Amino acid sequence: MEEVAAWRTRLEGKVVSAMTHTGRGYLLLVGSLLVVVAWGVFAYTVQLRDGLIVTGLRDRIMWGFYISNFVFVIGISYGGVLMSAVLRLTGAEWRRPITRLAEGTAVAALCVGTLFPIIDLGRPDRFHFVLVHGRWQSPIVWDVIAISTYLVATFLYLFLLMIPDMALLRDRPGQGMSRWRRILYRQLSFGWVGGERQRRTLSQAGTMMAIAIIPIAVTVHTVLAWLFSMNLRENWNSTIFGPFFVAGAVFSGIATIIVIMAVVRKIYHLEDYITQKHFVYLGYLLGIFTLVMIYMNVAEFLTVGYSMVGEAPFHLDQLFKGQFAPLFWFVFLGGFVTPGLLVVMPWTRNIRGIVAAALIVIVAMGVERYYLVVSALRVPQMPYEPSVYTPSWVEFSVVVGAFALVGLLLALFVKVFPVISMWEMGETREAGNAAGGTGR
Amino acid sequence: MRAGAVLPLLIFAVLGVAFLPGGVVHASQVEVEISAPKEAQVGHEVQVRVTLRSSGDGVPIADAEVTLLREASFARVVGDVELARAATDQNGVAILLYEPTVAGEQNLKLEYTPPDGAERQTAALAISVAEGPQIQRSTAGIRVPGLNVWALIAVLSAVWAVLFTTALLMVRIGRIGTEAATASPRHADQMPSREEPPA
Repeated sequence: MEEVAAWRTRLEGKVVSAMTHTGRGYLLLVGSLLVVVAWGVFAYTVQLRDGLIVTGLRDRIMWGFYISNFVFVIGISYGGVLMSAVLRLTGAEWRRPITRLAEGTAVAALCVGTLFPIIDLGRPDRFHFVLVHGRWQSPIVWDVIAISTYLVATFLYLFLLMIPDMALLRDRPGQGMSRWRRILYRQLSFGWVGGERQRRTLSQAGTMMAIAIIPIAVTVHTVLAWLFSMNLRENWNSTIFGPFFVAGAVFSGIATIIVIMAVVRKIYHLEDYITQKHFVYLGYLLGIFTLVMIYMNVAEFLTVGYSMVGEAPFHLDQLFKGQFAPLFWFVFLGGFVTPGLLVVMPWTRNIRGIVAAALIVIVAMGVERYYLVVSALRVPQMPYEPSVYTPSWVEFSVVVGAFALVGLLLALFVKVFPVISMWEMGETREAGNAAGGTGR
Repeated sequence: MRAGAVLPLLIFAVLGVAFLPGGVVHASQVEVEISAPKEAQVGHEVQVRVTLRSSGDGVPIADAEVTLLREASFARVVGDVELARAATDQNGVAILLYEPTVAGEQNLKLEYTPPDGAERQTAALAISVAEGPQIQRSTAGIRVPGLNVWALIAVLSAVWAVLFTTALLMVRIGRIGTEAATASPRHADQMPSREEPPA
């Protein structure tokens, strides 16, 4: 028992120290991110002033870099939440040090992801029209409803499971806890004292949310796919698009969590808690999803390519041999096959190998979302020359600024909230100790 | 002479106007007479009367199949679309009925088989089709009883009910904590988290 108490004190000290001690490196990181975000905001003001003419978007290719990154970022969020919920429901004990990071990443990505459709509007002041004049039959309305529901659910899920940790921080004397922190933790701890009734209620609410958030997350990304697939456009108008988007979201979500996990582990010296085992297990999930993605792509393109109906020849030609061929083959060979090999091969099945695989997957999925959106819009709907789309500096700047904002939110998150779920780790340790194991 | 020449011309002109672009077509051993209105309207039925006779003795050809076709293209495929099909009666007459769906000048084609079993032969006719009332109305999906916006609202309400319940449970956690803070004997099980770690 004493050993568990000492272990808990050590863990809490480590996590709280990461929150309260701000080094130069952290300030430099936040400063750099702020500069990039500011540049993105400046670029957006240029777009607001001059209109969408400053982007590469035109009447034929009207969705581009913004919408493809909207899909990508929402996917990251979805992957984080789903991973956390599934591992929680299946009782995977190894999840405990990483679920908080996954949930935090989900919230940060979702907050920024929801901005992209508004950024994509030439007249953002008319955004409320979708609520005022929207029709139930429109997939855009479905999307707004689904994402707003998901946003609330994700926040609830994150803060619900943080209640015991908030109480722990509230009750910590001194230790660099400033006044605003104490007020914040007191409010977010919901009067937690750790009694039996509170634990039972928390367990009940946690299980309910973990069950509910899986179909919510699947629905959100499926509805997002329907935004495309309900259009009569080559490649988009496909029944496989919903599952395809969901699988891609989990794939990119897992990859993002691996990378963030590696960064946080390195910066806050959490090597004792986030171990190689966590990377390898997530690597296995990544490997499984490389196969799922390959399967989905083959299923889609073989079916379309075999029948060659309508505009399929044009689309497949531009994808396999034409304008999008370098991107497509990079994604297929580099983004699906290479990470799979990195996970499978024993000598790369370590932290470096898995993080490298994850980085490749993130880049590849960003590229995949890009050509998925743009290539379909390039297929002529009438007898005109296929359009050309290149993102402008404004689009690049806004998107990079948005990614920096995700990073900034995460950097602030790990400073304000414990990056590891201390109470869950403690539970595991105690259970392991009682069973005579190590508990880790 | 003048009156004798003018009268047949007048009759020909009247008949010509009435039955244009109808006329007589000779094809191998078959004499085809087509009678159709010159103008039609989208959505209104058009009657094309075809008479087949032997070109030598003028005997009507019965039980010959006559098909009315229109050239069309769809998705880069060009071909003939069958509009109507009928067989000639004892008088060698076949009545073909069809309803134009597209406005504009329509070049139609008639196909018929000569009695000697020779290759199918064709004759052409043109009809000017004017705009008419909208006849094609696409229905938005299939109406399934009960599957409407209320079903969507029901699903959405269920999801929000779960979220709301979770929020209420969080409030309940807070209430239990407040009660424990009063430290009444009734809440003896409530201890500070630092002193009583979860089992």
